[in-house]
Amino acid sequence: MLTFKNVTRLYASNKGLRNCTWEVENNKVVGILGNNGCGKTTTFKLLLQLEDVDEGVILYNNRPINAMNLNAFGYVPEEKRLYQDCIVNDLLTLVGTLKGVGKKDINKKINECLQDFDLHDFKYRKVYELSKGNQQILQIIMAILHNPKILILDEPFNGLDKNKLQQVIHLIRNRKGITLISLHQYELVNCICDKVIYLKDGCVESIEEVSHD
Amino acid sequence: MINMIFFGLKRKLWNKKYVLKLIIIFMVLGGILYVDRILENITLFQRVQVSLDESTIMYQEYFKDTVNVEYVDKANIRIVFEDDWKIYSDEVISEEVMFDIQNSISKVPGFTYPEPLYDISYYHSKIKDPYLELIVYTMVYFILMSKSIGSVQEIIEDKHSGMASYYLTCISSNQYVVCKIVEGWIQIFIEYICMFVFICIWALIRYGYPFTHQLYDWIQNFIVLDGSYFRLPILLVGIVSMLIGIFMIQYVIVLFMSKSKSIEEANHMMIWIHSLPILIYYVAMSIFDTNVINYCKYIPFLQTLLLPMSLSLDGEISLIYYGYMLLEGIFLYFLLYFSKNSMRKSILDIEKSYVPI
Repeated sequence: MLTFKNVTRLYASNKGLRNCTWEVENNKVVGILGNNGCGKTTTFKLLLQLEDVDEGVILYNNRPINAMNLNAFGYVPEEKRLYQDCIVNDLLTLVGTLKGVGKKDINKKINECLQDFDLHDFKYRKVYELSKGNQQILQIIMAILHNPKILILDEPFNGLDKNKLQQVIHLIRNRKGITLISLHQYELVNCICDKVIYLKDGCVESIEEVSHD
Repeated sequence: MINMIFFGLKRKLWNKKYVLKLIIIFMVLGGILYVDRILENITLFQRVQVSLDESTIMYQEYFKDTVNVEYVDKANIRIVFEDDWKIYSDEVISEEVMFDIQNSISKVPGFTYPEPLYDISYYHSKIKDPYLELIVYTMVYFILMSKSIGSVQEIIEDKHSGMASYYLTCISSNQYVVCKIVEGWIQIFIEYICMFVFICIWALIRYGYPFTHQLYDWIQNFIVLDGSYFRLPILLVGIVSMLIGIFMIQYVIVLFMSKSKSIEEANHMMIWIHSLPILIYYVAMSIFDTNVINYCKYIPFLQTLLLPMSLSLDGEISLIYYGYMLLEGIFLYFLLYFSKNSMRKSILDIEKSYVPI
């Protein structure tokens, strides 16, 4: 279980998170929604330890999150963060090994993931040869390669066509572990998320459970 | 970390641009190793200038320009009559030129066969003392420091493109910086190994044709170093101690540079920050042959150059030098340990807390 307890992180601009409290059970998909600047990306950065919590505590299975290995996380950032001049296979191998995937398994994992998203033909191509949508898929593959306990997706559907969108939704719904996702496509919330946290001006406005019956 | 270094090296070294660069270096080195031949061919159709002396000027009607020789008022090759015909020159005269001059002299009434006298009055004095090792230290220092500019720029670019924060979701900030610095060093090492291999290939080709001793003779005119003076163990220990120091300086540069908020700001800072290694170099050079070196070789950063310099001056590796190196290593450890938070905050641009008290 992932728990935010009275978490506060404020910037000079007076934006950030204020006294946020919420929790999510294992194997659930949580949507974090809100207007621009409401604190979605800050939430993710705090989880990834790319920011420091000013007040409060973040727990995973009742242990502080900063005691966790960084390999427990998978992260798809909002903007593209890829070296354009490197080969897809090299990039995936690097990320996989950095995230602790064994050398024996890495090639198999890469092949599986690329095949799942019909990108196997691009395995030995340079990143800049991929379309915008495929580059986004590549970022998602980089995040899931090591089966993270917590997957964080910041606007993952940007630039995806209908087919790829369905593939990503299928992946999110069927994976084990906690998935946190920030979205602007509100119409997708019901089919993806088990729980939705609405943020407003850095505070939790409401939390809703979504039924899939 | 090894994977990250390998990835970075493959990305930078295994691409068309880099291979093209290597091909150009290979061709340029070939040109340099055949430069004596090339110059010889370039000057093939240039006539050699010869002058007549006061004692021979009255015979100038017999000395007409030829394909190889041009008679001028003043030249390095002079034709003189002192009891007999003599040719003074400070360089070797080719057979063709000699033939043309002799042909002209033979037309003068009362001709006797001239013997050329070579008046070679210059020679090179060779450098043969600890300064030789100093030259190596200076080379290594500035080569690695110049590469640090590339490594720092890469870290700044990663920071502003978001790649650095991506890496920092996998590894610590110190691991990331260490990887980038070491990657830069290995890249330099590979480049110089490639150049060494290219030189060996060209030297082997020349050994076959044309004979390499000509090149050796030609190079001898320029070589002022006596390689036999190299003291390899001292040089190696000196370089190892210098590498620790260089690493420290590079780390501090990254620490300062990563505080920049934009690439433009980083470029402005770059000029000032990179004067640090130059400053360290000149301070070290100004005190290395004075007594001050005995006190300053304990000072971190100055140790980078003063420790190897002092080792070269002493001429023997005593246990105390390993102690100094240990001290340098301990200082590096503390630097990495106490600055890791600051490094992380700089790279990630983490703002300070603004929670009202």
